[in-house]
Amino acid sequence: MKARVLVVDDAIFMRKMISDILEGHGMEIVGEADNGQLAVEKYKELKPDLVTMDIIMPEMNGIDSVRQIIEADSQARIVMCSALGQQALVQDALAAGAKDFLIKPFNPSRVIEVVTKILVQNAAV
Amino acid sequence: MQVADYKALFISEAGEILQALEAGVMALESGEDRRAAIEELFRHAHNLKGMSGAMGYDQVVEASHALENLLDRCRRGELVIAHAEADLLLRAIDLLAELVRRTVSDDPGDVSGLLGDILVMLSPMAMRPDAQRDRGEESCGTEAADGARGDPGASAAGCPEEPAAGEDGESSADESDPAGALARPSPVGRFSTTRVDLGRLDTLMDLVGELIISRIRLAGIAKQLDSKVLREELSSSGRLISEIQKEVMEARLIPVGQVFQRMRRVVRDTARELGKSAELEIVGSEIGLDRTVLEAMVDPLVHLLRNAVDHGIETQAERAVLGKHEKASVKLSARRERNFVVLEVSDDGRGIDLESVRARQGAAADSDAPISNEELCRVLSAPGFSTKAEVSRYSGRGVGMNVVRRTVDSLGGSMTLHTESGKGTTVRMNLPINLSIIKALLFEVGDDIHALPVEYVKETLRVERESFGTVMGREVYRLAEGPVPVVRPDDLFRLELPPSGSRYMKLILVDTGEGTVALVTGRILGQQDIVIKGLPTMIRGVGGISGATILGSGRIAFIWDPRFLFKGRCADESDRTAVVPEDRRVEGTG
Repeated sequence: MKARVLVVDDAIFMRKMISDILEGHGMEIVGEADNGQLAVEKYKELKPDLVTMDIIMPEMNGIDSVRQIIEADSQARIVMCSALGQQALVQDALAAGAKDFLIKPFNPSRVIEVVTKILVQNAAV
Repeated sequence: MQVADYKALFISEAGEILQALEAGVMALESGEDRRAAIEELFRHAHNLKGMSGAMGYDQVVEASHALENLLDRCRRGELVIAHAEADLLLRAIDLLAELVRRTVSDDPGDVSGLLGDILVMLSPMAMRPDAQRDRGEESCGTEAADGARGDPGASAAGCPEEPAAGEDGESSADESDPAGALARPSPVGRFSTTRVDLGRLDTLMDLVGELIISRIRLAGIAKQLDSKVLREELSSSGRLISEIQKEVMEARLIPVGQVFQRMRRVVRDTARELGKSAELEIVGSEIGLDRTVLEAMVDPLVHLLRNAVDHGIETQAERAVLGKHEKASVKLSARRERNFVVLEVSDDGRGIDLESVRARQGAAADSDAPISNEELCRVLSAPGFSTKAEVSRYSGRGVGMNVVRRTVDSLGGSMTLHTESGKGTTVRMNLPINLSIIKALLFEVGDDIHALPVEYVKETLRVERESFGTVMGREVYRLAEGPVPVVRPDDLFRLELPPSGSRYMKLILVDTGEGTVALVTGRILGQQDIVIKGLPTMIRGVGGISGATILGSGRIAFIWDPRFLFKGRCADESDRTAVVPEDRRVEGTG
């Protein structure tokens, strides 16, 4: 079964980039969101296997979005996408329930490595 | 996806971000919901940095990083953005845009100097920390008071901001003004739309044009075959084709907001330079307009807005005395009226000084007669006209209104002007929504078919050969309002046409913009919607021919541009007033 992924980022460029990497490795992008609030709604609607989550976004930031998604589904698999120098924010996100994080600009093999690890580790759930 | 595709996406999104940054700084400066504005700016700078990093554009990363840092300091309350800082920030954003433009170009050259300038502008030295300022004495937005105290840079910048006690800047931004955040258009709706390369839409448009032509040919065949079934089927396919044509045309339109938003900066900078206070109100951003038309209107709009701020709007002191709101209002609006888009630039300033207009108009004017708005528009847009005594950096060169008028004319639009003393001025421009399909009159010259856009056709006539006369040795046709010059295509194109033996002749009275001419033609084939095709490079620039179209028969018809084709033919010094009573008179006084 293809892994179904929800991509959350307020920049179209970044959404496209991560989507291409994931699709290039056989995953399916089932939805996109450009803010944290919409991500929560899309998560509930689509029940994806994985969420890639940007941190700084309008309406609702990535950390609050993680909190709300985890609240709705404690098993949600979310990986944060952050820039260098956002360690504190990443820590908050991990504390809120995100599984791991990726640093922009994306290194495709690192993205796949992290994503597969999360999907495999949590496959039993 | 190829690297080139990412680049295209980068260019388009970076462009949006840079515009949003500019708009954000101005929003910040105007003092509305500073907290949310800073968050937005920070987010945009952050995204630009991220995207540039992914593309490997290191200089853009460095510049946007500096911007992000600066905004982070604003967010933490260490720095306040008032007018002086906004000036600096806006200039830095301009340079950042230039840096992006050069970086993505084929030949970026050495951009280190540019980057250096940006970094200096965004450095803590340029933007002095708020703590150094004399807080509490000055308040935001009262520049008049500030000016009296001397150092305008420091004082204008010293406005106390709402305390930015920030444990978590991001979440508190949401709390500080949820209504403000909601009032902005939600980006969620964007997911029902997709981005299409404009070139692709142009191709689609061309294909629809070919489809129309192909259908016209089929209709010809159906007529020859005298097949009722075929004709019926063709008429339903015709309806479908025109539906497709309409949809593609709509899709090709660009929201005027893309240009309107840029105008905020024009008004802001002009007002600030002149020490005036003005705000641009934008209405109808979502209205769509043909790309070519919209691009052509950028400079005219800039000119009209500068005019409005420079000439139209009074100084703050004057406005106060007049009981007007100190902040002047300049309005830029768009609305759709059938096949036209109406753009309006209006201000609530002093109105146009009719006395100076009369004075400049000189002898040609009847000093007692009231000047109508139409007359005024004509006078103001005559070459070289200016009511302003001295030429300022922003306007008053006297070329402006003329250029505006010409641009509008060349797009097939029209322009009117209304002014009311003490109340303000409105310039209204009617512009065609698209330029790809026009209504044209088809007529024969010898064996060839030609097309004349209908807006230039005043009348078609069938006249007796004997009704021609001569004035000053030139052949004329006498209309009730006076003689008009006769133009023969043989002369125009240096053709050898066989003389017609008929007693009657066909004439098209053509409005050339400078006056009327009577064009002698062969058969007049009637009106038709035609698809304009560009001319091949070889013959592009042939004066008076604006393009070509392919007719149903597969034959090519050239589309005339009477404004150039008949240049100098409609009148000369001796018979000007007789032939073209209005426009020329004004131009002659310039």
